[in-house]
Amino acid sequence: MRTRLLSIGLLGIVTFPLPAQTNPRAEHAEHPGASFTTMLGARHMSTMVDTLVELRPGDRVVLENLTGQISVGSWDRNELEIRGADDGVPIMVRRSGSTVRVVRDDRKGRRHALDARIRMPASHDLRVSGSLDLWIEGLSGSIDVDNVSGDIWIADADGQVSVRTIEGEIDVVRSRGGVTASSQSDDVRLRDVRGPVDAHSGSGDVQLMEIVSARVRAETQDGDITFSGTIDDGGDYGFFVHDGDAEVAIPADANARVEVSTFDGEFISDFPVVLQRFTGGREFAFTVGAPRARITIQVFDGEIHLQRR
Amino acid sequence: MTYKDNEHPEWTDRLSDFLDGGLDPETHAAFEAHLGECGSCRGVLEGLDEVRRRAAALGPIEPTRDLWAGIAATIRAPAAGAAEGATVIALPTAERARPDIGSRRSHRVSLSSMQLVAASLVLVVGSSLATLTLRSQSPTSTPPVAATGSEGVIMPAGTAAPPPADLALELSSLEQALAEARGVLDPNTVRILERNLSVIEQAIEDSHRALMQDPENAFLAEHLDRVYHRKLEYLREAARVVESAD
Repeated sequence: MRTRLLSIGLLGIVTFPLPAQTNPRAEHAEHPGASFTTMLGARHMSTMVDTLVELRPGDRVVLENLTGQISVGSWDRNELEIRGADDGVPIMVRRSGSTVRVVRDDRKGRRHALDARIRMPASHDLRVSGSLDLWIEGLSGSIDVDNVSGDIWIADADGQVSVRTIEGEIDVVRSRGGVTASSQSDDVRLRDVRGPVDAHSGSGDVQLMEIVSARVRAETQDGDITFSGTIDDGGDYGFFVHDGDAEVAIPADANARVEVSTFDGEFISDFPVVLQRFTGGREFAFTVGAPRARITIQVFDGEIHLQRR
Repeated sequence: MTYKDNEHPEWTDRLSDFLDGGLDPETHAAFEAHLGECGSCRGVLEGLDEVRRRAAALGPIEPTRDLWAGIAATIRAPAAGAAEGATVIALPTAERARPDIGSRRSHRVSLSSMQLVAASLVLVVGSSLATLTLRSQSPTSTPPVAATGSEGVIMPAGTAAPPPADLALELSSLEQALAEARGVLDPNTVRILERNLSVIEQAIEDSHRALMQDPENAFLAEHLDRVYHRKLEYLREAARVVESAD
């Protein structure tokens, strides 16, 4: 493995623009490190870091147990670049097989913040874990995020996106490989997404807009679900709310069997409804157009609105 | 439910008027003579009479607020575009429907043979919704479940619903692990975990209470099961947080 570091020196203050949606950061320099295991930063506060690590085809990049604010973008070089400012706790870059791991080296188990911008080849898979605000843009490999607290924003992802956070909002825009997203306590927003969608919020809203998918599942315990998208023949679309409303907007020419269940809610439809099943309680089914797809809407306590797009 | 016999619409269209005594004597006599000869029209008449009797037996049952307006509209005018022979109940469309109890009570239904079918379905719907309304009157919301500050416990208080047997063991194990890990977690993390867990527990409690009221409701059973699985996933996720904090 060839690992090299760019040494800009103390005078090499580097300013790099971040995407407009990201948190503004500037003024980063670099710090030299070792070769196989690359140490970024040093044991003093607000160290500037700047390093490059060569990546091989098929390498997976893992940002492990990090805190702070990190943006990840793509470039056309087969290298992993990390630029930013840490708080004095060294960052280690380690290779294990085809996994290149970026970790903090705090043997006392303390959490320290890192503000960094990372660039990597678009096609490599990325996994991130920790407690951080995260921006990821322009990757075509898979993205897997396991977060504790912090907002997550992902854009222009061509691969499969899987993101979980205990606390923090999730935004995914222009994704082409399907999205699985879960925030236990904040909103989950997906826009312009293709592929399978599985979105969940514990106590926030789930907004799914411009969705092109044959499989959609959305669930919230305490919040609203909003969906606007296509209904594919053979598709399966499920919307599950405990305490909140479900607004489902489908094309006027959609073909689907719609199954509605509620315990203490209301149902409003822009479509004429021909009941095909009424099982008692507040469950019924009907068909919009032909029964080629299945739409399931279950709201324990709240309003259901089936809208024409 | 289907109704196919429409051989003599010139008579079946007058069934309601016949039963209500609204036909002139000559037509009434002619209708009686026809009924003596036509078994299918007698069948329709008997069906309508059954509907009327059952409706009378229902008493002053109020329909639920969101479906009734559409149902009533269907009775007043068959749904546009309804296929011949289809049972059509038009639910409210763009506007939120509200109960129109007064008009229902005073509504005089003049049924064609097709509307007779709709009326039968309305009766079934009305019965079901009336039951539902009673069930829904019982409060499902409960006081917010307060996250406890008790030592060593990451559990909201007041959880009454027992978990499904297949989940109970893992849930218990994860809850125990979280409780033991409380001391090593950041207090803010503990607060977040407890708050999120309390939301799930509230959903469980709501669902459980609803299911107690309506034990045969498959939706409620499915809903409660889903919330329990969500709790399990959440506890697993929380356990990962604990592991990463170690």
